[in-house]
Amino acid sequence: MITAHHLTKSYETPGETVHVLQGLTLDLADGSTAAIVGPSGCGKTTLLNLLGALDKPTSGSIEIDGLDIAQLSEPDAAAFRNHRLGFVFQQHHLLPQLNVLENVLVPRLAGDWEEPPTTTQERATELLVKVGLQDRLHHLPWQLSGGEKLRTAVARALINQPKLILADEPTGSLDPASTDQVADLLLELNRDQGVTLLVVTHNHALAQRMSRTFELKAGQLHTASS
Amino acid sequence: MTPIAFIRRGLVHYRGSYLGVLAGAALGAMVLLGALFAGDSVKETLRTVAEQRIGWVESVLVGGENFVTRDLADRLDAAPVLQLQAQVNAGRASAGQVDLLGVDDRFWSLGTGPSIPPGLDGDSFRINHTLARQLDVGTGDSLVVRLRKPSLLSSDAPLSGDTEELITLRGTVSAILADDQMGRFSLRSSQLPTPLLCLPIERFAEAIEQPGKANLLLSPKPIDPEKLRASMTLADYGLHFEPIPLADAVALRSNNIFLPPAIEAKARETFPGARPVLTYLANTVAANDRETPYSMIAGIDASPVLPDDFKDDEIVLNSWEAEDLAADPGDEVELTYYVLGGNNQLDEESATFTVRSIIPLEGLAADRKWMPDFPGIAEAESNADWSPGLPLDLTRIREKDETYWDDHRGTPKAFITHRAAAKLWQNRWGSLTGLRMESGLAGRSSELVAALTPTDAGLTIRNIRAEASSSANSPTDFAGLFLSMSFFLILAAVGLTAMLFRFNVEQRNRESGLLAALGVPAKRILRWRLTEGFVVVALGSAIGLLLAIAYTRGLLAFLETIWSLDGDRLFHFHMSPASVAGGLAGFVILVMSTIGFVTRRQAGRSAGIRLESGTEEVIRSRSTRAPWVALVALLVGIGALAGSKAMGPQGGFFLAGFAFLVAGLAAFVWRLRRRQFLPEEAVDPAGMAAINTTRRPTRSLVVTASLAAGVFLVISVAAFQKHGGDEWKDKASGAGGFAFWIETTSPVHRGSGKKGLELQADPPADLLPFRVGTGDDASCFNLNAVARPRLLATDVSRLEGRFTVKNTVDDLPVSWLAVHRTHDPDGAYLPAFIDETTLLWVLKKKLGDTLIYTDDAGREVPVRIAGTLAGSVFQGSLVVDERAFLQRFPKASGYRLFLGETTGMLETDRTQYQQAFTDLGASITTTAERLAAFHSVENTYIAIFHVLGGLGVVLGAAGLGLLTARNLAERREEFAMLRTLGIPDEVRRSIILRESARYILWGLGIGLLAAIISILPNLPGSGRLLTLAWIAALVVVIAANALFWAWLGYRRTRLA
Repeated sequence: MITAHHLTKSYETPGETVHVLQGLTLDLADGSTAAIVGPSGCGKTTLLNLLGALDKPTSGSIEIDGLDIAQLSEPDAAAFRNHRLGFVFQQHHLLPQLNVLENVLVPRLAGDWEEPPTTTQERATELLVKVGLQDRLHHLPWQLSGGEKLRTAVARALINQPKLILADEPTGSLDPASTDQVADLLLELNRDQGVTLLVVTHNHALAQRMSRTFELKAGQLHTASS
Repeated sequence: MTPIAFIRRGLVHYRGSYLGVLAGAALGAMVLLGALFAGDSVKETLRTVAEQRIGWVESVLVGGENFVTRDLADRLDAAPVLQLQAQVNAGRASAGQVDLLGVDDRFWSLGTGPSIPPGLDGDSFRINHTLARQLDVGTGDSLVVRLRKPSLLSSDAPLSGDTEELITLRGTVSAILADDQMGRFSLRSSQLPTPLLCLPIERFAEAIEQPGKANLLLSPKPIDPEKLRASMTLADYGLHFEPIPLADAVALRSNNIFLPPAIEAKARETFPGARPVLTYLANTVAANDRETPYSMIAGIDASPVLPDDFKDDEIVLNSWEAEDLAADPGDEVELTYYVLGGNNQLDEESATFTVRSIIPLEGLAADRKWMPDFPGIAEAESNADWSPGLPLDLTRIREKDETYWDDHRGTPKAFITHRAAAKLWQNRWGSLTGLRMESGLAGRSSELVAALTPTDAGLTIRNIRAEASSSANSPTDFAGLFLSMSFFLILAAVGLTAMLFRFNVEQRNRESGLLAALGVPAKRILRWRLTEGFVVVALGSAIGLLLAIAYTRGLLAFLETIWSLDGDRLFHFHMSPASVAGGLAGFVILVMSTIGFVTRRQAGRSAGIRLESGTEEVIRSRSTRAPWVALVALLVGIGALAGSKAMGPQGGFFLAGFAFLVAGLAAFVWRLRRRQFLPEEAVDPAGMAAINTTRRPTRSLVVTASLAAGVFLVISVAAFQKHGGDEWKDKASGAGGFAFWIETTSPVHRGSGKKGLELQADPPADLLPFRVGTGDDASCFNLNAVARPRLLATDVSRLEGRFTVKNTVDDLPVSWLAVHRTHDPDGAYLPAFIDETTLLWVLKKKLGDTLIYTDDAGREVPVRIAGTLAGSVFQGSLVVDERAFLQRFPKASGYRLFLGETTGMLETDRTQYQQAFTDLGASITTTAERLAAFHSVENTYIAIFHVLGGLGVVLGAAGLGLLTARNLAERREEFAMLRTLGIPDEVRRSIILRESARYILWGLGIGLLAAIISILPNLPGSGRLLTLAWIAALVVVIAANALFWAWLGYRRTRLA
């Protein structure tokens, strides 16, 4: 599913060149789950941005389903994200002007979806039912709790039926109970729909529920000890 | 850290974002103060001009066509002036309607500027700059002055003599008079200088055969009416006693031939035994199939010439006449004579008398002095030299008639009673040509003088300083006018300033939240913010004050294109302390109130929310007020349409348009708050844009409302734009179907020529003549306040079916005939028609109101507004019926204004008219040119409004750009998320631009709809297409401008 080889990412700063990733390698099979942990500033989000085609590596390759996303043009990268990936953010980033159902449908804004809108809408409703928000379809974000917001964001991440979900600190702002609920949800999706799940987190409990855990250290991934 | 230090640090740190607030405040203050300064400048200029116009003169004695002795000026310590109008030529250059002033050295001391040395003598002229420029002459150049010799008796009167006598004066320009050296002297209330030429009064008086006379006395002190009355002599009243040796009597005579009725009454009262005489010219005396041409007939009291029981239907012939007619007592004699008909045409009438007796041609019957010195007759060598101003057939004069003239001059050939004569020949100038009395009574002339008042001789005292001072108060409040024209721009500037300030406050939300979390009361935080705002707004206003000085000068320069002559500087910049202080204070209060209003909610926010987010999300509330506001506004609009007849179509439709604007905006708000979206709409850029516009309803409303209001104002005013074109041909147009407007320096009289007017050549088409009465030009070209517009008198029946009569008084039919039918059985009023705009905006009167004029005898004449006209060539004047006018102003002499028809060949006709009006100092313009000139004033106002309103629209659109930029900045994370989700750039751009497009479309749509309703009645006939094209162009420009600013806002903050 994901094969990253010799991945490096450097940033030029006025004083020096910061090497965030240094020859990183990652192989992740279809339908697997993995967590990446590491201290703040170690490059977790940078890695997630590279895997999500939001950024390009300084060198190395990233293949997702056989597609070298490091070589994609910006429009192709956007199309890739829109159709193949699901993102879950710590801050949820729900659009305040849209209700829950509409927020889930936002990816369709890209405009080149082949399926009829009603199909997407039906699926959105199903997803929201699945994440337990059947009573919140027409609520605006400010009317939701943190867990509900996150669940909405998860439903939004699934609306394009992705093979891969990238989650960046998805439970960072949740209490332990909500964290468990979200973890259950993500793993259930992985189990039921075969979605590959890659979670970047500080939360060891969440990380331990993934089949594999990597620690990002000195720009490279190391299999973490349980 | 003290609050002051905190505020100062805030100002310095956020100076970049405060720059916009500063600029907005500076712009708003500039426009507001500029409007006030423009008002100050116009007011001050008019005051200065008024002072220059009259110099040190305090009051004047105006004689007009009545002359007083210059000795009277000595007795009153006044400067005597002989004032007439003339045409002045220099080579090929010519200037008409030049004020010709005969003056002596006393005149120069009345100037307020550096004294000009006395010594205007010989054939030297002093002229003002206006005339110098018109003729392109300077000192040392030669000028030729041409004018008609003034007639003592109105040239309309029968026996007033030939009026064609042209006087030519040649001279050299010895000085050009500055404005404050009496170069601007004029009694007319106008800011425009009159071309002026001064010459020695003695020379002028000799030339017009009025030696020792003046018709205007200028006094640097108020003229005391009692002192004037006490100083008047018989000569100042135009009266004299003529010895009648044959009768050992004297005759009281008037220089005007006919004794004015007021003087006659007092003279008869003073000299009860005096005997009236009315001598007149009979064209034919006929009896027994024989006739005598052109004979004087005297109407006198019986004694001592006629039998005591002489009756009114009897006539006494002298022996010469009896012999000529072979008439005997008892025979019937028919007299044929000219009288002035109702239309001021000479009509030939006749009357029959029975011969009572024949008297020998001797003694009193042979007294030549029965005949007054009729001009054109008295001085004639022979009958053939007569030029009495009547159409005579001199071929009828026989040898014996010449012999009679040689031997007996104007000795009457027949006598009738004075009562009979008065019945036949009394006219508006009087019924006596003399009042005979014993010679001893002449010594009692002082009794008569004591009984008379100066007004009996048509002399009036005018407090010219008070008049000038009151006329300097322009009926147009320029400060108010410019404020109203700048209204939208000021509003836009204030709105923009407030919006930018609020952005700054929002930008610092986290800071405010932190302060609140640390325990600083929210109100105190708001106060600190507002203090920062005050400092910035005050500084911006101070910059605006400096800019306003330059801005006002620009405005004044633009205004001078209308009200100045030949690019002359007219307006002088002036700013009053009250305007500076009031304007600045008012503007700062306005801006601070607006800022306070838009940021007031900041104080109520919790610190938590502020710390959470830099911006505040507005949650849609389901206000129920908007639909009610929309409904009420809609009803008001419909009501205004229905009541447009009562309140006038323009006012009604404008109100309706404004109401629909409010209704449209309320509907917009309702839609923003109520609209429910389908989920699939959220996945379409257009639907997403629509959802986003409902996100912050207040911001959406501000942008849409400013665009809608801008479109409404700019377009509804555009419809008032006047277009020229061929509308003058339409009889219902402002030109009444007439092609030419002709004004002459010298009056034209009725004669025996074609069209009944004494012209140099036949005019190419019909002319409608107007007498020009007293009063000032009250058209839009005159900035001064005019209490009495110029009276134009004509045969109003000839105007029937022409022009557009808008309203008439007393529910009379809407027609010119209302002039004759006003409910005024006593004839106390002189009914008049006036342009509606002059009535409303210059006089500020209404239909049925009266204006007080003074007639020839010094009595008050109330002129009642009987009807109003749609915008016409008569703007600034009152049109009255000639017959009624002449009853009050019998001395009005001749016609000085003409409306000319055309044969269809305008240029050929213009040339022919020029030939016909040669030597009359005529200015000939087409009515289309005249109307276009009036329109140019209105169009200039509209142009200024468009510039200012347009700037307001640009500013409003700039607000849209700022809002776009602000929205984008606030929604960075949102767009970043969309990007993460793989939403392409084009879609995101499309959402943003569609949001702006929605504001623009709503704004344009609401504004345009309201504007179109408001302009429906104003869409002119022939210019409709042009107006619509202009409106369409405006809409396109406004839309493009708004899109441009939105795009600029997008460009500034777009998220790659």
